[in-house]
Amino acid sequence: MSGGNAESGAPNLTPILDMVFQLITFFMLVMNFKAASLDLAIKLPVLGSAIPTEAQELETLVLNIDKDGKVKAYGREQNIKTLAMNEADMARRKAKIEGKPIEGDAEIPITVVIRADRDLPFHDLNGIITDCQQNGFRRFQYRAMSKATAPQAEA
Amino acid sequence: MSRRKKHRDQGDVELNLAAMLDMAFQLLAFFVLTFQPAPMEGYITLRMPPPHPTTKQSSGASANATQQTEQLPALDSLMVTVTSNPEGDIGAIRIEEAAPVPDLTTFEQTMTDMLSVPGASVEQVVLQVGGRLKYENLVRVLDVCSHIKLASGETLNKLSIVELPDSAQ
Repeated sequence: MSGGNAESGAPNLTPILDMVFQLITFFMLVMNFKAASLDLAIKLPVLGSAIPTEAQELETLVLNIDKDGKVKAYGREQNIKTLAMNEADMARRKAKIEGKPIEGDAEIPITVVIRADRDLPFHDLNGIITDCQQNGFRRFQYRAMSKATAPQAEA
Repeated sequence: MSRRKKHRDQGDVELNLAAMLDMAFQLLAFFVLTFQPAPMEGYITLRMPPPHPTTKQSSGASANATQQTEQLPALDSLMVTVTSNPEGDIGAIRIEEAAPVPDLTTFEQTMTDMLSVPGASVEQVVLQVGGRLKYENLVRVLDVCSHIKLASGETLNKLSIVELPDSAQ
């Protein structure tokens, strides 16, 4: 590669362009769109033995619950009763279209991911779980920080 | 269609890369500013059917864990009570009506001893939890429960959680 046009004095921009494109490629590859559904302001409890979230469930409903019991899903505050009802309704319709209808009280094939603040009292959490159960959700995933990231969680 | 012969200058073709570099830097700035590393989270997955009274066991309280182990074949569900103190920490853990276990390690050991007995037919564990118990402490109890091995060799993953009435806390 030449060192640029000697007559005009213009620098050779090819190497810098190469590098910038490599950086762009890196950021595009590590971009995680699933993180957008997570409310990172929530302080999760720290649990050493929790399984790392590498093997993800296929269909999930992520509920971010703050210490006052307010539920955030899809980036905004939601009424849990309405949300659970709508999600269950959509799942039933989808299953019907796919030819595997969900009968009556049968289980909805969606995992409810609970990302709750560590100080949330059980009374508030129980109301949310009960609302989900009443709409047919049976699989629940409780999220916690692994010990390796505990200092970040404390910050 | 007539074929035209193109005549090109035999000199070097200079491509102006400045515009492309500008655009590339803008894209780079966007990705750098919106970059959020995904937090390293762990999880506990449980099947949680709605709670319903399923205990077939007679209501006669057993005084200790040994006696309970003998009665287990008649059980559908096992009741574990976790009370909370006003700060939201774990107050006491009681398996059925036995004496409270002092800590989570003892709780795990006792549960394992009870449920891994061949012939024990516990289908689910019902957790009665104090309303003030913090999520942090609840997850610790769930974590212990999710590690308990049943007599069939499977881990216990069927749990129901109900709230203790205020009078019982």
